[in-house]
Amino acid sequence: MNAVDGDVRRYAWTRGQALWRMAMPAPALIDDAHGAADAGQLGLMRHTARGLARTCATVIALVVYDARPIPSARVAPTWALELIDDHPLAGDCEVLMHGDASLGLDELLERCVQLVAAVEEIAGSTPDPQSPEGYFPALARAREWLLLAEAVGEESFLPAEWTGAV
Amino acid sequence: MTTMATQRRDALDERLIGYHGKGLDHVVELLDYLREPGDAMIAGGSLSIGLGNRLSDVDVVLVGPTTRTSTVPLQHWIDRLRIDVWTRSTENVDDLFGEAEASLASPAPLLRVFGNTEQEQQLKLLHRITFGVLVEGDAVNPSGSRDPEAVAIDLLTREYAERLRESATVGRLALACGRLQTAAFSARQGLEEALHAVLHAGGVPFSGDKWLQEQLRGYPQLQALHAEFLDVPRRSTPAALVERYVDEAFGHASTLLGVPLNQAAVTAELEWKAGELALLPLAGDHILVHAESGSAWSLSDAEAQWWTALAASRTEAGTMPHPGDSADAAAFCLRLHEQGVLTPTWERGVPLSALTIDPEVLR
Repeated sequence: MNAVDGDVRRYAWTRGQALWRMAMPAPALIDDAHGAADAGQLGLMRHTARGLARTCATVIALVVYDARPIPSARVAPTWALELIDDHPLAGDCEVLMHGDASLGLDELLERCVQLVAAVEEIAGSTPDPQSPEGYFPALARAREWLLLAEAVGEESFLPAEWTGAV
Repeated sequence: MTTMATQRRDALDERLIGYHGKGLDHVVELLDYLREPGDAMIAGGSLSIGLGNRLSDVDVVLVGPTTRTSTVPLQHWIDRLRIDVWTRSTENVDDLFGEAEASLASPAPLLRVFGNTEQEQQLKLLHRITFGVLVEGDAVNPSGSRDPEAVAIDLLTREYAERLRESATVGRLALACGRLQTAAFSARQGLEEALHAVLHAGGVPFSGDKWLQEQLRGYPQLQALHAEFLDVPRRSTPAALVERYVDEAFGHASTLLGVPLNQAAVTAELEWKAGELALLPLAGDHILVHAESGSAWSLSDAEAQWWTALAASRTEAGTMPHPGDSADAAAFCLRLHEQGVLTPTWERGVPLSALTIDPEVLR
């Protein structure tokens, strides 16, 4: 038997948030990146790369640094980059979040795919909820984390409208 | 269906067939089980307004007098084409537009009306209904005193103007206290919000922030301006250059919307909203505790005094006036905002009458 390190409430909250922030938007963002590369839409690619890097930096902050609370999206880039400053993936996140006009479609796509794969190695991967085969498995995974959050008295990480809490 | 509506339907059909080998007839057939007598099927999203690509989904809204309102989008697939469906009763759509009209007429900020995920979805729905492609049935004409398209455009313009005010507030406060990265990220965001406001005020349909650069292609002047500020200066960039980037970005945003965005202007009516925070003495130190998140910060004597003064100024509504007379106290508020425990808020929104948008910038 191995004890879960640290406070289990914080563990449930940070990992639950990480799951919500990675599993839901990341596949859509990767789809956007592939679609942009395919259609030659550099603007969409740049915007997607920013969002993906912000998501990844936030997930690293949650899972590796137990960060809580998460500030608003407007200040989240600085918050996340400062927190994960000594992490090996910080530089990759920083380049994509700031933007780099010298990077073309293919290079941005490659960086996005690699960054997501690297963060999934840290945070774990979840079935893609936006695919026919991943929809129900992803919901089942989210439910497990919600049950853990409930068991330790933590708030849900899903929007309240989804859980009927409003 | 009007000629223009038919042309838009045909264009969308052609793109779907080009990408997936199956067009709107397949979508209609797939969703037949959700249909009710007399309803309308509207296809929204990026593909419906000439954006999108082969991996874009289609957002469908079904509206009818006996249609039941769905609480979550209903996902469907035709091979790899994802179709998200929202069902709404005609009465619900009337209410939605009514709420939008009331929000525009109210001095309160829009963010308080469309502030959560469900309401954000409602805002998107409003635009899908207004600017989407009519696939089947009769056009939806929400009841109300104003033209639905004008309501949708006004709502979006004001929404982005209010977002810009918040970006400028954070950016200006951050610049003043040397938090240059926060300032620079806020400046890029603020300029992009201003560009959105200008585009939508000019009648350009909305399909999410991610399409801004593609939507600017038709407006070379705005596209060139955006390109100048696409890359946020890095941490290694000399401070003077970052400060100039921030100043110029907000300067352009101010010109585009005809609103002052200097620090005095954006913080004039600023208030802060806090979660449950408690300042406790501990062995000669001051600890600010946010019990809900299990977080705490050690404060200096001066910070403890600023917090005490701020907390004492809390109004009945639970907000605290911005300490504009002290640069250090203002910086402290920004730092708490960056930690996620203080949120900027305003009693009043940004009325459209406060904006001066020159239509020439869209020529």
